[in-house]
Amino acid sequence: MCPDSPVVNTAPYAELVCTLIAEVLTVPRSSVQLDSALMHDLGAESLDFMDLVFRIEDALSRDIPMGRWEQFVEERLPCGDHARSITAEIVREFAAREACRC
Amino acid sequence: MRERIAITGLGVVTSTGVGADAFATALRCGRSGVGRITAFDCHDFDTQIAAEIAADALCVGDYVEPPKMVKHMSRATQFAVVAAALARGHARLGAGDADPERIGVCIGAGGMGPVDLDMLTGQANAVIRATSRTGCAAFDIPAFAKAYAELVNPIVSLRGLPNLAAAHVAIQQGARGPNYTVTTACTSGTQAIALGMRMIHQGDADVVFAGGTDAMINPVGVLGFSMLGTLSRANGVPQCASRPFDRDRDGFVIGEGAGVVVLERASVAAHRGAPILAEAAGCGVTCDAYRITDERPDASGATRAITLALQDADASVADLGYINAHGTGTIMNDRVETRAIRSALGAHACAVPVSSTKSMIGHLLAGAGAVEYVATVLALRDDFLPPTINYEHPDPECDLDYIPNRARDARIDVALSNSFGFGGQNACALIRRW
Repeated sequence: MCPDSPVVNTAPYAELVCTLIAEVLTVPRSSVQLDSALMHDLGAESLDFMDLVFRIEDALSRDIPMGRWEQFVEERLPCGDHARSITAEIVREFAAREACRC
Repeated sequence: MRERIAITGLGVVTSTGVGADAFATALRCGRSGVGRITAFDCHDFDTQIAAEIAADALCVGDYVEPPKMVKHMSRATQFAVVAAALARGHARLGAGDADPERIGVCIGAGGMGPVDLDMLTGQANAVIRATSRTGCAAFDIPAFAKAYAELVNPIVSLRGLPNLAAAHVAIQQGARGPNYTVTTACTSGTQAIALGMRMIHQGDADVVFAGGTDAMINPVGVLGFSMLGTLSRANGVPQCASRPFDRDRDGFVIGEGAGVVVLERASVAAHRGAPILAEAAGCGVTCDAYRITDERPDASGATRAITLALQDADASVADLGYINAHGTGTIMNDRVETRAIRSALGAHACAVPVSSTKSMIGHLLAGAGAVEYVATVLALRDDFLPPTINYEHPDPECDLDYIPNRARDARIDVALSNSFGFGGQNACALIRRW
């Protein structure tokens, strides 16, 4: 991570991630918000997060080490906590990574 | 005395019809579902024909809840899920009609190689990328592994598990009882129904979704069977290529699809006032224990499976009114199967009409037995015998009544469906009017 990037612009990533989430979960784009709880609100299961990670990596053509995003998701999704939203965190994480690259 | 088993619902996905009634109409008309392969560019293939399910023939999403589950399903699994949903609707089995823990699933599935074109394409592209990076013509496994992780979505791998067809049927149907997968090549579908019957006989379930599914019309599937010399190469007029028992047959035509039946303990079916189509009366399962693709020349394994099915149903050869043959259209199968029928039925063999519905829908491999079981139930239900189409020239070694080219009106009380697989497994199922 990059501790020296306090302000990042998340907007370009929000649309992409929400669109990909809609594809992964086969739901209308309009039903995905940054505060959506993927499991509780949108019916995601653990495999869907692997699918999402793959599609995000593919869309951004970034060389993210295998396992990096699975870990990210697991850290934010404790067992049994189906109601927790991670979409916004995913977007923030991407934006922060981009900021580090600049 | 064991309790009788009612067949209360039929679901099929085939190249000639989706749903029992559409399929019955196609069987009665003798319609062929064989055409030139559209799934991929086959122009240099020895075999360029198959019986495909057209893209506009069904919308899988209409049968799956939630819709995202479709992405976890191989093509074969999608067919099985649709067939099961259709069978449930046909059986009018409502949500509260059976205890979910007493509903079992038994599906024949599993072939060779990649399970669908998506998976094959991902694997192939990974090889191409690895090769372009190393500049080396040899297969570099570490380079392949890196490219594979980049190109192949991890969830795709799960589609390759043969047991996922049965798992997805259970998920969609809320079936929390015993759940089995049978992988015995072309015998899978019939063995799955046989095993489903045993689940009810043994008291493990009251209702079973039993059937089979396959979708091997991909380059590896077609090449694999073609290189083994089992496929027809009669590409010129595709609908005439599948010609079981004809003198000029030159192999089978690959088909795809699924068949699922609802088997139900008679007392449970009666209690809910279910529509009963026929009785799942008996089955016989044996193995040649001989060669992989050659059948025993004396047909003893297949003969014994027919005899065991009759015994299991407490039926005699004189009761038999129709046999839905395995009838692949290979030189060997049709010859040996004819021998088996003659051997098992004795003098009665000439009096029993036999047909191969593969002449119309091709060979559905792991799904074949189940779809043919459905065809046989439909013959009983609708009082007709499906034809063997493309039958023009008698083969001296295939000398039974094959119901050539036109369906026949007939009211029969007992019918048999045969399946024989690579590996030597033989399974026959007997169906009786209720």
